[in-house]
Amino acid sequence: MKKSMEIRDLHGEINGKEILKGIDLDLLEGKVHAVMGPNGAGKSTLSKAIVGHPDVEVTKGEIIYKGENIVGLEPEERALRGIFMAFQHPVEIPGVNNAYFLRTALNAKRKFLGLPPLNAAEFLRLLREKIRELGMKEEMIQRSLNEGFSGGEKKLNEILQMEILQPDFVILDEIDSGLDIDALKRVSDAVNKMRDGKRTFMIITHYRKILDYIEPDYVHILKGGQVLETGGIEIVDALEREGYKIFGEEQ
Amino acid sequence: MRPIDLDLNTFPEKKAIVQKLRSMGMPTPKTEHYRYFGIRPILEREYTLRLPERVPVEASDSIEIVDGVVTKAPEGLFIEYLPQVRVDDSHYDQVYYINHLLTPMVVSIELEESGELRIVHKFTQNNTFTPYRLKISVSPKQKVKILEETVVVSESSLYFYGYDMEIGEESRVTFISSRITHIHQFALFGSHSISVGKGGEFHLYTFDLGSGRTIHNYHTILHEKALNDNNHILFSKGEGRLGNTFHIEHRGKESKSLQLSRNILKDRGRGIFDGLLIVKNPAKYSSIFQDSRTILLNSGPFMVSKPQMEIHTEFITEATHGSTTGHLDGEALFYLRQRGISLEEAKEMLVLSFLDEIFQKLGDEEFRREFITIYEENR
Ligand SMILES: Nc1ncnc2c1ncn2[C@@H]1O[C@H](COP(=O)(O)OP(=O)(O)OP(=O)(O)O)[C@@H](O)[C@H]1O
Ligand SMILES: [Mg+2]
Repeated sequence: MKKSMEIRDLHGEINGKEILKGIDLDLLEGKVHAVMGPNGAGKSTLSKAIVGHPDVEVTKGEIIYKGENIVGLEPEERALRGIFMAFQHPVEIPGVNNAYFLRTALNAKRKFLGLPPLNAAEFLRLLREKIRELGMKEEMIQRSLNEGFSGGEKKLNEILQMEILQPDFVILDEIDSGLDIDALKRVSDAVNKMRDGKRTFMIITHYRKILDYIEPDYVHILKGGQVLETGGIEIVDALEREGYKIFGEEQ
Repeated sequence: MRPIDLDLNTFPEKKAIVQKLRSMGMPTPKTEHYRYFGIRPILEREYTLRLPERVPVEASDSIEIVDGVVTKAPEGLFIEYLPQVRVDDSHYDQVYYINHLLTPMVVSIELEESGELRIVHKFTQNNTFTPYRLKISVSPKQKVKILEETVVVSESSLYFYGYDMEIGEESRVTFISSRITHIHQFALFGSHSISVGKGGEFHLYTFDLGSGRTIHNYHTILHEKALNDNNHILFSKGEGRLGNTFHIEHRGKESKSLQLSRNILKDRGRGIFDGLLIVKNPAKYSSIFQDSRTILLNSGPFMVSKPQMEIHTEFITEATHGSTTGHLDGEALFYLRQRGISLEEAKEMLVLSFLDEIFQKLGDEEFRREFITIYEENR
């Protein structure tokens, strides 16, 4: 099966402390990969390494995406190549209008793809449609980016961005935390609608619930900066019964 | 500078100014509000004194002042040339008095009705020193908007100018001033005195941008229930030295002053925000607010931010001041870049969001767009 991303012996440090200790992971094209693991396991650090967050210094290993090692690329270069991350904690940016920000991002992507920019009217039509589907409040698009948004609204806003930007590789870092039941369903619907057999998802979560809605093809267990187990949804059942102690050494 | 001869017998009123100046001394690098401006090289340069004359005025939709000479003005605007006007006797800036002393005639404008006035200052001379002044009187109960612009062609000159402004009771003046200069050898000193009558309002918006040298020193006097609302955007780059200093004097009760200052600095640019709020004893139940924030775009620039208060009354409604200096928020930058926005564009978005509060207050979308264009050309 075709690999969308291949992570080989990835070591990464934050502030000189090694957090990722040799990650090996294949993420297959068109598949949904769930990544689970205890607090502090390095899940967010791994996603930061993939998107090129400056806090994470990759000291060894490679991330091959669409056949290219992206480790040296700038964050925006990775984004333009189709990698998107829904942040565990989206930042608030006062004074930057949500709609304006999204149009800038979309047009940057369109430019990269050699497409003409969307004008404000065309863009607004697209945005309104997506907003309605997600059950977001229309006024949120004219507000400052994430400013004063509730926890759940911030998460929905991440999904809105995903839908507008139509990335090829999507990381959802705890998208389910803070969402009410209805919002979780709408987010899951949005993700399922985008599962087209080509797009790859990496869903980081602590809970089974979201995986009932978005059925994963693979489940990986990350602990102590390494991938200790890969399997199917049955891993989650074992996890719910026994906890993380059944995976790897006690730390 | 060469010594200048002045015949004080022609204008005996000027003797008082000389007295005042004698007690204050000349401005030096030790003068508090010039300490970080780099005044010495400016004053040590050789200039030819060039006093503005009176010439026939062409009709136009704005006032145009070329090197201190009024060349154009709207028809029907009442302009007088006064050899001497009443001088603020408690200004903190020596340049204010020097300017009054040297200015042969003050351009005096009376605004008796509500409306808008555009004033364009053009600076074209090289190696000259030009002092000039304006006096603006606004009648009570009027709403006036003044838009001020500077056009700098001059490459190496010194200009002293300033306003003596009297705002009548319950009048509202909005003064929007953009001062853009890219010429390092050009220096502009503005020294202003503003008196706001009972219940009057003075809203000031300043936009200082570039790598030249400009400093504006404002002495504002607030009478009962008067308001001074100051908003400053400053973008200093190259070897720029851009500054605004203030003494805002609350003389009447229930007067109010607010100051917002947003500064962006890069290269070796320097910015100065030095604001002293003085609440006199009779000014009970006044409120004062100062907030100065600075973003450094690299490690070379230097911001001098000195919000200060001096309160001589026990009864004060509100007194808040704060000053912060930092870099662009790394997490916010990263968030934008993760969405495919280039580093340059992401920086610009954050800079503009940093300035947004002031633009929101100004509420002039066209002006905001113009500023963004200028900012983009200079970033
Ligand atoms: N900026 C930082 N400075 C220092 N240590 C950090 C920083 N960011 C993360 N770490 C450390 O790296 C380790 C892994 O953190 P990470 O956020 O990747 O965990 P996680 O698996 O996402 O956990 P959670 O499930 O709680 O979100 C933790 O021990 C954390 O304290
Ligand atoms: Mg995490």
